Amino acid sequence: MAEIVEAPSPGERASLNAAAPAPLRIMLDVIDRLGRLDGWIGGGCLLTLTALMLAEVTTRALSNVLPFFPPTISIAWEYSSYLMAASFTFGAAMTLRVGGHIRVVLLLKNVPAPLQRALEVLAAAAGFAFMAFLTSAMTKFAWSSFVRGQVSTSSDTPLWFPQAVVTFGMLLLTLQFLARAIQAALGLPLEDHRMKASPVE
Amino acid sequence: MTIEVIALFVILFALLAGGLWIGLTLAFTATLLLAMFRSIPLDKLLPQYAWNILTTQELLALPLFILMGELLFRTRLSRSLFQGLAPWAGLLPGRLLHVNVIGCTIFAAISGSSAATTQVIGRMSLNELLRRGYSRDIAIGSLAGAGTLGFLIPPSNIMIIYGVLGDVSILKLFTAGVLPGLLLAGTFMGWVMLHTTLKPAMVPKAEAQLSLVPWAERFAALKDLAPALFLIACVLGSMYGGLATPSEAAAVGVLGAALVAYFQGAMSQQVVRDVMIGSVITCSMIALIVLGASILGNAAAFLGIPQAVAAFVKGLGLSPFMLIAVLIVFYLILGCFLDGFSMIVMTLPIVLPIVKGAGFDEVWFGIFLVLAVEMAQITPPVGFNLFVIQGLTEDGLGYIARVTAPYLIIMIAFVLLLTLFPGIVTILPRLLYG
Amino acid sequence: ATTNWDMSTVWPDGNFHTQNAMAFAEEVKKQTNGAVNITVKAGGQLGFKGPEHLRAVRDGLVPLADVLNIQQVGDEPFMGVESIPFLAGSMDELKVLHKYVRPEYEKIAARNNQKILYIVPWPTQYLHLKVKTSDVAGLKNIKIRVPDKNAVDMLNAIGMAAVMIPWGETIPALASGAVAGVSTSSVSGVDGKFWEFLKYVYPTNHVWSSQMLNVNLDSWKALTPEQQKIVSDVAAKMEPTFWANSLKADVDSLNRLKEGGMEVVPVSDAMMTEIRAKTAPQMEAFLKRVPAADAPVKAYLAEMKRG
Ligand code: NA
Ligand code: NA
Repeated sequence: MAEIVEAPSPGERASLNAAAPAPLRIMLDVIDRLGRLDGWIGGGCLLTLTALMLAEVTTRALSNVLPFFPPTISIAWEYSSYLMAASFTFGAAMTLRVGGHIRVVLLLKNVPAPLQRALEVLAAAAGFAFMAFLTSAMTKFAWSSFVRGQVSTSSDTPLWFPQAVVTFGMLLLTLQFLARAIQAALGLPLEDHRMKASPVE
Repeated sequence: MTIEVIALFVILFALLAGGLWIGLTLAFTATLLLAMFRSIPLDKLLPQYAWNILTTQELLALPLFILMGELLFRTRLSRSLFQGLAPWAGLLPGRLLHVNVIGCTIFAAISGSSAATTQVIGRMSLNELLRRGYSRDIAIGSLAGAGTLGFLIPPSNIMIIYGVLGDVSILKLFTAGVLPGLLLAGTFMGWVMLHTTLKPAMVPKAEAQLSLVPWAERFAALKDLAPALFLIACVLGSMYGGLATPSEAAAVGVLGAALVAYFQGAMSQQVVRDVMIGSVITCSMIALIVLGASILGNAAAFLGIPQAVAAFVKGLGLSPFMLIAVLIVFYLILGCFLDGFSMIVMTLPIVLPIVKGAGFDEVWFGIFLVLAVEMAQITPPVGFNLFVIQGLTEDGLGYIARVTAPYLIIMIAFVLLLTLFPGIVTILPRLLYG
Repeated sequence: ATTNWDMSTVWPDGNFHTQNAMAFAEEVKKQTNGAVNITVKAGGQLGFKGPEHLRAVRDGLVPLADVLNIQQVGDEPFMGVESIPFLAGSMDELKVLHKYVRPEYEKIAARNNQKILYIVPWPTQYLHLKVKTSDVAGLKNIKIRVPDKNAVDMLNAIGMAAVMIPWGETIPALASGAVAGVSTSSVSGVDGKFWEFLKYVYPTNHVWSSQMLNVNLDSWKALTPEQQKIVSDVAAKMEPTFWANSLKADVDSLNRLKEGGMEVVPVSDAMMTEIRAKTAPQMEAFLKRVPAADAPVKAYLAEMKRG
């Protein structure tokens, strides 16, 4: 996985946080790097869920003619939904960094630069505050599943595990908001369009 | 109740205008409303909601179709689709602009969701239309409008929800959606023709030659449609052939698209990377909004806002036609800030009895609701199709909503038409199921 | 002061459980002179799914919820006791079973910070199929949609091919033939308009399940002792009517299925014996997994003279 992250075109990865003071810069770079990595994990979850669904369709169809194929993979739907949740949350940080999340920019575009910067800091700080609250609540939620030994009704799967994965995805989004608030305050570039999939000509 | 509604609007619009991301705005608004008007432990409620919504099995087809759309976009399939359709669409005024409506109509028969329909067709068509020099306004507007057909033409997630909650045959609803769906698609195409005839500059001059293509060439071009047909056959075949449920069929669609891409020699490491990253970005973008919209919907249900308004409408004691007119306005307003699912779940218990009491057929009303939800998809500030298109083109929400407005007006007129001639909805299910 | 309680249920407005809840809410309102006001929020509109209701009430997310016992097995395995295949053969037998398991349910509710107001069973379960058969062999490899793991185990044990897909996918899957049957109550059969896809109903009576209306204890304690008494009395008084409604819903729904063109196929004694034999090990497995269920189940079997 790590190699792939480094792979895309040469020179692409020059830090956008270069202008930040040293310790802050390292932190921002680490968060950006995590954001990229989690995008890949999200993609992996997406492919796995496709494969799981296809396996379910295939085995159900084949079981009609070849009885030794099981008629169903009983976890297919349940685990697919966990994988979906993972891919949703894992991609969120990278999506924020590339400017993929949608917002109304009417006001932002039409105010003087200092006010725009202040609004950007405020928006990112609000995003950070909300996501920090949600992440900490989600941590307690997953922890309580673990302590109580809660399992899913359809397969007895311990729920804390997929819940912890989703929580981790949320944590990365929280960090990305924090990074963005700092980047906005320092006047650094907020969005890194180089990470986006290359446009088709 | 008034104070809750005012608080909702003030918070929502302040956060939106301030540039907070839409999904977060909705979730934040919901959280503040619940904190102000209810005493519920939010640190326990929010994670439960987040977990529920993110793992909703009814959503599974969405990421699959997004993946399929990215595959089509990044391979040669979209190009060959245009090559196949161009000489045919060239016969109509408006030329290739019809690709949006025709594409959405076809894809609507594959997918139960309008966001997926808009995403997949938009991925294939928008770049190509703009590259060829077609009017941006019509390219975007017709996509947003026609994308909503995803709910009206079966299969349809919204019809399943309505059928389950309203105790109405889903089979009849699916059947009832076909004729209005095709008619609405036809009306959209009619508008595109009229619009481009009135303003010929919206179609690039060079495209005029498309109407001069010899017929032999036109038929020869059909072979370029083969990959698209193969893909449709994959999804529809597995769905109606009894191999897969509608959501599972979406996975078959991904496989089909990957196979097409592979045999066209379009699969490279770079393409795989772009498809994965592109899908993840779109999925996360939509998921954040779905999360916020669902949480806001739940909060509104806790506060009883839609119920209060529906009860108010009930108290008006309107004539049947006026009732429908008022309901259109009611759903248009609700649709500005709630998603379609929440709208239906919360209002149905109150609205359905009023509507039945006024003598409307429950299947007919299901189609009415589907159209109401479709309209909600394209009204700002919370309109999923608008968001999907924003994700595709990075245009402002205001601009997208503006160029979509004609299609919204057509849909309102269309609903009134269905009210005057309910037979358009009820004839097919009557003929088939008595 | 008025106490306003929201009640969460995932079932739609027209479902008899929801109707029961509404009747209950109305009676409570009347008896308390409007001091306790329950609003039934149906169709899952508050955003909770069935398996979360025990937790939602426990954590005070909602004061009242319609809790389906078998959906709570992820939190409280004992709640699956009624779904031991063929433990109860009729609603009368279920009443006897409840005499032994209800005290356990109440203990579970108490340790989850809640109190059961009333319990109402779902009508008995049927196999709704496309094919007609008079023996177990005829059921072999039929793809049948089931709601949970317990039902998967049970129907697989008799040679069927149980498939767990969401309810929303079930109707299209029936239409296309991806599944050829559903194991559920006649009420859900009518909800799904099964006559559009299926021909035969088999009254196998294989498993049971019950809805319990649970109230959060903190909310409960906020009532005055008089109000508490009124609410529990209303619940106790109305519960038998609600059971009768369940029976009636079964009869009505079965009639509706027949009107739609489905045929009720009696299950022969021989076929029943075979099904019971094949699924018998599931009881042992359950009692082993949930030791707390051993005593009440044995006591019930003794009373039924099946011990
Ligand atoms: Na559709
Ligand atoms: Na809208």
